[in-house]
Amino acid sequence: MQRLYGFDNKLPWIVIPATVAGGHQKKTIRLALDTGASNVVIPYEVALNVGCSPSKSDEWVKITVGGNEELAPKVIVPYFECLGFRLRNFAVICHNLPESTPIDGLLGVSFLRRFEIKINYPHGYLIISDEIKKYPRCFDSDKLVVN
Amino acid sequence: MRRVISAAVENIETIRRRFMREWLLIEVMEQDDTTIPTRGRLLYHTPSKSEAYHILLASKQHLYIIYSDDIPADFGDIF
Repeated sequence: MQRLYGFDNKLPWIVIPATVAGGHQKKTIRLALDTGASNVVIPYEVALNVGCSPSKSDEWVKITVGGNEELAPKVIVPYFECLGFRLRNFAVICHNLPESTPIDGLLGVSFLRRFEIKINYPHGYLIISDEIKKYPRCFDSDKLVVN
Repeated sequence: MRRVISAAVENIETIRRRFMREWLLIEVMEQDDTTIPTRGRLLYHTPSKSEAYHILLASKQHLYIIYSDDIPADFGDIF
Protein backbone atom coordinates (compact mmCIF):
# COMPACT_ATOMS: atom_id res chain seq x y z
CA MET A 1 0.00 0.00 0.00
CA GLN A 2 1.24 3.45 -0.88
CA ARG A 3 0.01 6.79 0.47
CA LEU A 4 0.63 10.36 -0.60
CA TYR A 5 0.67 13.05 2.07
CA GLY A 6 0.90 16.76 1.32
CA PHE A 7 2.63 18.99 3.85
CA ASP A 8 3.31 22.69 4.17
CA ASN A 9 6.91 23.08 3.02
CA LYS A 10 7.09 26.63 4.40
CA LEU A 11 7.02 25.34 7.96
CA PRO A 12 10.26 24.48 9.72
CA TRP A 13 9.08 20.89 10.32
CA ILE A 14 7.04 18.29 8.51
CA VAL A 15 4.00 18.04 10.78
CA ILE A 16 1.94 14.85 10.56
CA PRO A 17 -1.23 13.96 12.49
CA ALA A 18 -1.19 10.57 14.22
CA THR A 19 -3.95 8.77 16.07
CA VAL A 20 -3.37 6.85 19.27
CA ALA A 21 -6.14 4.48 20.35
CA GLY A 22 -6.96 1.98 23.05
CA GLY A 23 -9.70 1.06 25.50
CA HIS A 24 -12.50 2.76 23.49
CA GLN A 25 -10.50 5.99 23.45
CA LYS A 26 -8.99 7.65 20.41
CA LYS A 27 -6.95 10.82 20.22
CA THR A 28 -5.27 12.51 17.26
CA ILE A 29 -2.17 14.59 17.87
CA ARG A 30 0.38 16.33 15.67
CA LEU A 31 3.92 14.99 15.45
CA ALA A 32 7.03 16.36 13.79
CA LEU A 33 8.71 13.91 11.45
CA ASP A 34 12.13 13.48 13.00
CA THR A 35 14.68 11.07 11.55
CA GLY A 36 16.97 12.14 14.40
CA ALA A 37 14.60 10.76 17.03
CA SER A 38 14.98 7.06 17.79
CA ASN A 39 11.38 6.66 18.95
CA VAL A 40 7.90 8.03 18.62
CA VAL A 41 7.22 10.52 21.40
CA ILE A 42 3.70 11.32 22.62
CA PRO A 43 2.40 13.39 25.58
CA TYR A 44 1.80 11.66 28.93
CA GLU A 45 -1.88 12.59 28.91
CA VAL A 46 -2.52 10.91 25.58
CA ALA A 47 -0.93 7.67 26.81
CA LEU A 48 -3.01 7.82 29.98
CA ASN A 49 -6.17 8.47 28.02
CA VAL A 50 -5.78 5.31 25.95
CA GLY A 51 -5.25 3.15 29.02
CA CYS A 52 -1.47 3.13 29.46
CA SER A 53 0.24 3.93 32.75
CA PRO A 54 3.51 5.76 32.04
CA SER A 55 4.41 6.08 35.71
CA LYS A 56 4.13 2.29 36.15
CA SER A 57 6.20 1.50 33.06
CA ASP A 58 8.77 -1.30 33.36
CA GLU A 59 11.03 0.35 30.84
CA TRP A 60 12.48 3.81 31.22
CA VAL A 61 14.80 5.17 28.59
CA LYS A 62 17.32 7.95 28.74
CA ILE A 63 16.41 10.78 26.38
CA THR A 64 18.31 13.92 25.53
CA VAL A 65 16.18 17.05 25.51
CA GLY A 66 17.74 20.44 24.86
CA GLY A 67 21.14 19.19 25.95
CA ASN A 68 19.84 17.64 29.19
CA GLU A 69 19.38 13.97 29.87
CA GLU A 70 16.09 12.78 31.32
CA LEU A 71 14.45 9.45 31.96
CA ALA A 72 11.19 8.86 30.14
CA PRO A 73 8.80 5.90 30.31
CA LYS A 74 8.25 3.62 27.34
CA VAL A 75 4.71 2.25 27.03
CA ILE A 76 2.87 0.04 24.56
CA VAL A 77 -0.14 1.75 23.00
CA PRO A 78 -2.79 -0.65 21.64
CA TYR A 79 -3.07 1.17 18.28
CA PHE A 80 -0.92 3.76 16.59
CA GLU A 81 -2.19 5.06 13.27
CA CYS A 82 -0.28 7.43 11.03
CA LEU A 83 -0.27 8.21 7.30
CA GLY A 84 -2.85 5.50 6.69
CA PHE A 85 -0.92 2.73 8.43
CA ARG A 86 -2.10 1.17 11.66
CA LEU A 87 0.33 -0.57 14.02
CA ARG A 88 -0.83 -2.70 16.93
CA ASN A 89 0.86 -2.78 20.33
CA PHE A 90 3.34 -0.13 19.36
CA ALA A 91 6.02 1.10 21.78
CA VAL A 92 6.22 4.87 22.30
CA ILE A 93 8.01 7.16 24.70
CA CYS A 94 5.98 9.49 26.91
CA HIS A 95 7.33 12.99 27.16
CA ASN A 96 5.71 16.41 26.98
CA LEU A 97 7.40 18.86 24.66
CA PRO A 98 7.75 22.41 26.01
CA GLU A 99 4.62 24.55 26.35
CA SER A 100 5.87 26.89 23.63
CA THR A 101 6.24 24.12 21.06
CA PRO A 102 3.15 24.09 18.81
CA ILE A 103 3.27 20.32 18.24
CA ASP A 104 2.64 17.37 20.54
CA GLY A 105 5.43 14.92 19.84
CA LEU A 106 7.85 13.32 17.43
CA LEU A 107 7.50 10.73 14.69
CA GLY A 108 10.80 8.94 15.05
CA VAL A 109 12.69 6.04 13.56
CA SER A 110 10.77 3.31 15.43
CA PHE A 111 7.85 4.11 13.09
CA LEU A 112 9.72 5.31 10.00
CA ARG A 113 11.99 2.26 9.75
CA ARG A 114 9.06 0.07 8.71
CA PHE A 115 8.43 1.98 5.49
CA GLU A 116 9.94 3.32 2.32
CA ILE A 117 9.50 7.07 2.46
CA LYS A 118 10.28 9.58 -0.27
CA ILE A 119 10.15 13.24 0.68
CA ASN A 120 9.74 15.93 -1.96
CA TYR A 121 10.44 19.18 -0.13
CA PRO A 122 10.19 21.61 -3.06
CA HIS A 123 6.62 20.47 -3.82
CA GLY A 124 5.63 19.65 -0.24
CA TYR A 125 4.64 16.01 -0.35
CA LEU A 126 5.85 12.64 0.80
CA ILE A 127 5.09 9.15 -0.41
CA ILE A 128 5.06 6.35 2.13
CA SER A 129 4.87 2.70 1.19
CA ASP A 130 5.06 -0.62 2.99
CA GLU A 131 6.05 -2.33 -0.27
CA ILE A 132 9.75 -2.09 0.37
CA LYS A 133 11.83 -2.23 -2.80
CA LYS A 134 15.45 -3.11 -2.55
CA TYR A 135 17.57 -0.53 -4.31
CA PRO A 136 20.15 -2.29 -6.52
CA ARG A 137 23.10 -0.34 -5.16
CA CYS A 138 21.86 -0.04 -1.65
CA PHE A 139 23.84 -1.47 1.20
CA ASP A 140 22.98 -4.98 2.16
CA SER A 141 23.47 -5.43 5.88
CA ASP A 142 27.02 -4.34 6.43
CA LYS A 143 28.12 -4.35 2.78
CA LEU A 144 28.08 -0.79 1.50
CA VAL A 145 28.51 -0.29 -2.25
CA VAL A 146 30.21 2.99 -3.06
CA ASN A 147 30.57 4.30 -6.59
CA MET B 1 -10.50 27.38 28.81
CA ARG B 2 -13.68 27.96 26.88
CA ARG B 3 -16.17 25.28 26.12
CA VAL B 4 -18.04 25.69 22.87
CA ILE B 5 -21.68 24.65 23.01
CA SER B 6 -23.29 22.94 19.99
CA ALA B 7 -20.69 23.95 17.44
CA ALA B 8 -21.36 22.99 13.84
CA VAL B 9 -19.37 20.40 11.94
CA GLU B 10 -16.84 22.29 9.84
CA ASN B 11 -13.61 21.83 7.96
CA ILE B 12 -10.69 21.70 10.39
CA GLU B 13 -8.90 24.50 8.54
CA THR B 14 -12.00 26.73 8.74
CA ILE B 15 -12.05 26.27 12.53
CA ARG B 16 -8.32 26.96 12.82
CA ARG B 17 -8.53 30.24 10.96
CA ARG B 18 -10.93 31.69 13.54
CA PHE B 19 -8.42 31.53 16.39
CA MET B 20 -5.05 33.02 17.21
CA ARG B 21 -2.47 31.33 19.44
CA GLU B 22 -4.89 28.86 20.95
CA TRP B 23 -5.02 25.11 21.33
CA LEU B 24 -8.17 23.63 19.84
CA LEU B 25 -9.85 20.37 20.81
CA ILE B 26 -11.94 19.20 17.90
CA GLU B 27 -14.18 16.15 17.84
CA VAL B 28 -13.23 14.27 14.68
CA MET B 29 -16.15 13.58 12.35
CA GLU B 30 -14.35 12.76 9.09
CA GLN B 31 -10.86 11.61 8.10
CA ASP B 32 -9.18 11.19 4.73
CA ASP B 33 -7.52 7.99 3.52
CA THR B 34 -4.29 8.85 5.33
CA THR B 35 -6.31 9.11 8.57
CA ILE B 36 -5.85 12.88 8.68
CA PRO B 37 -8.89 14.54 10.28
CA THR B 38 -10.67 16.76 7.75
CA ARG B 39 -13.96 17.76 9.39
CA GLY B 40 -14.97 18.11 12.98
CA ARG B 41 -16.76 19.97 15.74
CA LEU B 42 -14.91 22.38 18.00
CA LEU B 43 -15.43 21.47 21.66
CA TYR B 44 -12.85 23.53 23.56
CA HIS B 45 -10.25 26.19 22.95
CA THR B 46 -7.56 27.44 25.30
CA PRO B 47 -4.28 29.35 25.06
CA SER B 48 -2.65 26.85 27.43
CA LYS B 49 -1.19 23.63 26.05
CA SER B 50 -1.17 21.93 29.46
CA GLU B 51 -4.83 22.84 29.99
CA ALA B 52 -5.65 21.37 26.59
CA TYR B 53 -3.93 18.13 27.62
CA HIS B 54 -5.82 18.14 30.91
CA ILE B 55 -9.14 18.35 29.05
CA LEU B 56 -8.03 15.66 26.61
CA LEU B 57 -7.19 13.35 29.48
CA ALA B 58 -10.76 13.38 30.75
CA SER B 59 -12.52 13.26 27.38
CA LYS B 60 -14.21 10.26 25.83
CA GLN B 61 -14.60 11.55 22.27
CA HIS B 62 -12.18 11.06 19.41
CA LEU B 63 -10.46 14.43 19.80
CA TYR B 64 -7.96 16.10 17.54
CA ILE B 65 -5.69 18.48 19.39
CA ILE B 66 -4.27 21.19 17.18
CA TYR B 67 -2.64 24.60 17.54
CA SER B 68 -4.54 27.33 15.73
CA ASP B 69 -1.58 29.09 14.16
CA ASP B 70 0.96 27.89 11.68
CA ILE B 71 4.38 27.31 13.12
CA PRO B 72 6.28 30.58 12.57
CA ALA B 73 8.94 30.27 9.89
CA ASP B 74 11.54 31.67 12.31
CA PHE B 75 10.65 29.13 15.00
CA GLY B 76 13.52 26.70 15.33
CA ASP B 77 13.80 23.81 17.70
CA ILE B 78 16.13 20.89 18.14
CA PHE B 79 14.74 17.92 19.98
